[in-house]
Amino acid sequence: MPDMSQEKIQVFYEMSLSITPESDVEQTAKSAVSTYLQKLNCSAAAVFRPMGLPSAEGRRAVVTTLPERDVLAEQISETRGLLPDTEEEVVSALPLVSELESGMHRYVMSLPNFGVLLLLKRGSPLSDDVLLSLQDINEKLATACNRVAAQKQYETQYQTLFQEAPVMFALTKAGDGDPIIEDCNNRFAEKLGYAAEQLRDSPLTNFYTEASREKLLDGGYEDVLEGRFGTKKRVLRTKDGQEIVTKMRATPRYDRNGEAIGMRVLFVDITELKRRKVQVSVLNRVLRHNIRNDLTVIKGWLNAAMNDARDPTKLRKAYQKTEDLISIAEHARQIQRFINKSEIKRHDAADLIGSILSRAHSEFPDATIEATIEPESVSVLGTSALQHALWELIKNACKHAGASPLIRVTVEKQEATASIAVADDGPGIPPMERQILGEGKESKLEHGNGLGLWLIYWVISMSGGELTFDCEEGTVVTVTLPLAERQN
Amino acid sequence: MKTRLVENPSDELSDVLRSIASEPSVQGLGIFAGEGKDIDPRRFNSMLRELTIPVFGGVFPEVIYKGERKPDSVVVVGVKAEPNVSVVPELSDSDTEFDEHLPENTQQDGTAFVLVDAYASRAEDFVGKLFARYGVNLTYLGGGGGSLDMEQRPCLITNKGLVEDAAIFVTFETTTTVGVKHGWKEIAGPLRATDTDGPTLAELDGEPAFPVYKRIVEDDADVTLTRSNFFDIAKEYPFGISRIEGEKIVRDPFEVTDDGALTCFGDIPEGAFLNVLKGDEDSLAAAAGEAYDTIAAEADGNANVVLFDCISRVLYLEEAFERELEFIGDDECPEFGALTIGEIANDGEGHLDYYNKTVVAAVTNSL
Repeated sequence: MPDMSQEKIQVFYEMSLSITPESDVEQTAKSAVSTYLQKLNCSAAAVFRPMGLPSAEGRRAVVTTLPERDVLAEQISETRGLLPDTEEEVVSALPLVSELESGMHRYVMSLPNFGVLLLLKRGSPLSDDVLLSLQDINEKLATACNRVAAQKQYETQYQTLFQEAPVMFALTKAGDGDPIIEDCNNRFAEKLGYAAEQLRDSPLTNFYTEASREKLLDGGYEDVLEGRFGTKKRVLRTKDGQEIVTKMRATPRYDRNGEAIGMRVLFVDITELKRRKVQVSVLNRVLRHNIRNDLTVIKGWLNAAMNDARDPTKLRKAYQKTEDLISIAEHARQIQRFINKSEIKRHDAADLIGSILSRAHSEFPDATIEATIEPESVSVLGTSALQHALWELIKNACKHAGASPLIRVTVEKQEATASIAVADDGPGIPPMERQILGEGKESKLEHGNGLGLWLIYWVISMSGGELTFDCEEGTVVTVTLPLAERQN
Repeated sequence: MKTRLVENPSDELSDVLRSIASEPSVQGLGIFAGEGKDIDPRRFNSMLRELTIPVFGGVFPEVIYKGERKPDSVVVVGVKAEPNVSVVPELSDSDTEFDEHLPENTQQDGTAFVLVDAYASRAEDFVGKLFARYGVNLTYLGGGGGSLDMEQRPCLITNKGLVEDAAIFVTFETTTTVGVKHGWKEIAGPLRATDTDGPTLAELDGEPAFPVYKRIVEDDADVTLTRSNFFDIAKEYPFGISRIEGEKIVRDPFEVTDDGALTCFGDIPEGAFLNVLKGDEDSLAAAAGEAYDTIAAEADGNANVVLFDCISRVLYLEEAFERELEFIGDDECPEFGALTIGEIANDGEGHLDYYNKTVVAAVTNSL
C-alpha cells in the first residue's frame, strides 16, 4: 500500500473486512459496494459481469447497482459503451478515470476474473493513492464473488441430484424427539403419494408403519444423532395405505457449532426385491426339498425295478434322468448357500487346485489330469465358495469330456490377476450355453440345461473375477481372479 | 416560504395553522414543535385533520427560530413548492416493507426532508433504503424527533395527526444546498469495534466496551466515569467512525448496559475502527460556521436556512451554544429548524448517512 495516513489505512482495512461471501453473488457485491459508497462518500456504484453473450448488453450483465438499477441505468449504459469487446482488452484498458459534463467523477475498475466496478462521485475526486489502494480491495471482492458463484453452482448441482436421484431421500430436523421432515426429494414424495410441500414440516413417523415407528422412537433416532446407526429395514406407508419395504440408511446433520440437528435419510425401496426373494426361496425350497425328496424316492423304486426287470434299459435311462434331476436340485441348494456368502477372502490358488486335483484323481480314476502351477503359491481374492466353483469346473471336465479325458490344469500369475485354466479334449461346451453365460442372463427361448455353469459363473463374478471359454479344440475354461497382493 | 413562530401554541396554534394554510401561494405546511409546552394531543390531532393541504413535521426537544432556541414554541412553515409526503408506519417492525410506502420515482435534483422517530429501531435501515432507492437524485436533510426522556411517544406530525414509530419522507421539486459538519476531534484510538449488535457496542479491541472507554475518558478528564453519571459525561466524548472524503460519522453513547456494553444513538458496524472524540466551544462553533459557509453562497434574497442541529451539542455547550447559532444564518437569511435526536443528511454530493452530534444546515431558495 502507498504511503498514506493511518486513517485511510484503517478505512481500507475496514472495507476489506466488509467483503465476505453472502447468500448469493448479488448480495455479496451489494454489501461490499454499500461500504465502498459510505467509506469513500461516493454517489453511486455498479458491478457488471461478463456473460459471454454476443451483444454488449448481455456481455456486461449487471450484478448489482446502488442506488437501484433504474436510477443508474443511463450511467451504466454509457459506461458499457466505453468498454472494449473482449475480456482481455477490458482488463488492459482499466482503470478508466474521467469527469463527466455534470461534474461527476467516473471510475471504472477491474474486478479480476469477475467483471467491472463502476464508481461515481460528485465533489472532489478520489486521490491517486486511494485509487491504487482500491485495486487490492477490488481483487478481494472479485474473489469473494467468484467463490459465491462457484458455491451456488455446487448447490444447484446438489439440489438437482437431490431432487432427481432415483432413491428416496429426506432431510429431517429436530422436533420434540420426533424427527420432522425439513425437505425431501421428488422420489420420496411420489412414492408416498404426496406433493413434497405436503410432507415438509410433518413428522417422519407419520409415514412409517407402527412397528417401524416404534423402532425409530425407541432409541433408533438417538442412535442416528450419535452416529451409531447403520443400515436398517424400515417400512413406509403410502397415502393409500400401501407398504413400502425399504433399506434405510441415516446419518446425522450438524449445525455450525457441531450440534446434531437432524438426519439425512436414504430409503432404498426393496419391496420388489423382497418379493422376489420370497419367490426364489419358495421355489428353491420346492426344488431342493420337495422335488429332491420325491426324486430320491423315485430313484429308490427305479433301482428296485431295475433289479427285477428283464430289460432294464429304459428303467436305467429313467434312473439316470432321476440322478440328473437330483443333481440339479443339489446345485440349486448350493447356489442359494453360496450366494449368501458374498464376503471376499484370500485364497491360495495353488493350494486350492492341489486339493481339488487330489479329489478328482480319487473320484475320476479314468481321467488323466496334468497340472502346471506357477508359482508354488499365489494368493487370490474370492468368496468362500471359490473352492466349490473350481471343483465344479474340474468335475465338469472329468464328467463331460469323454470316457478317459485328458485334462490340463494351469495356474499362472500375471501383474494384477491370476488365471486358472482347465483344458480338456472333450466335445466342448455348447455355443448356446457359452453365449448365455457371456450375457449373464437367460430367457424363455435362450437358456441353459443345468445349473453347474451358472454356479461357477456367479461365484467367479461375485469374487470379482472373469470366466472365459475357448472351444476351438476341446474346451478351455479360464477363470481369472484378482490377486490379493494388489488389493493391499 | 412563509415562517411563523407560535410561542403560545395552546392558544394560538389553531389560528396560525388555518391562516397560513389558507394563503393561496401555500402548498403545504411544515410544523416543528418543541416538546417543552404540553399541547393537548387530541386537540392537536383535530387541528391537523382539519387541514386540507399536506402537512409534515415533528415534535423535537427544542426548535430554532431566527437564531434563538425555542423549547416551548412551534415554528409553522408555509411552503410554496408542493410537497409530496409519504409516511412509513411501524418503522421498528422487521416485516415492514419500506418500498410499499415510498414513491416510485422522484424528481431529479429535488429536495427531501426525512424525519424519523428517533427511538424506532430501524430508523437507520430506513435511511439506507432511501439512498439505495433514490441515490443522489435528491438532497436530503432531516433528523430524529422525540423526547429527551427516552420514552417513545407520538412525535411525527402528519395529516392524520401525531404518530410514533414512523418516518416521514417529503420531497420537493426544488434544489437545496446542504452543509454537514460536526467539529469533534480525535483524542484516542483507533479502537476496533470487535463485537456490536446494531447500536450496541459490546467490545472494543476484544474487551468489554465500557472499561476501555472509561480508561480513555478518565485519562482525559478529571472525573470518575460511572454508570450513573455516564450520560452527563459521555456527551462530551462521542465516537467517530472514519471514512475518506467526508465527515466522520459521529456516534453518541448514552448508556451502559448490564454487561458493560455501550448503547449509542445509531448503529456501529462490527469491525469498524472508532476514535474517541472531544470538542470544545471553539471547534463546535467553527464547525457550524463551516457548515453555513458551504451553503451561504447559494442563498438569494428570499432564502431561508433550515437547520437540524443535534440537541446533545446543546446539552454539552449549554449557554455557549448561542455562539454556534450566531454562525448560522443572518438577518437576510434567517434560520429555522429543530434540535434533533440524530441528524440525517447527505452533503448533496455523496452518501446519505445518519449522524449524531452534527450540524446540518441547508439553504432553500424556492421552497
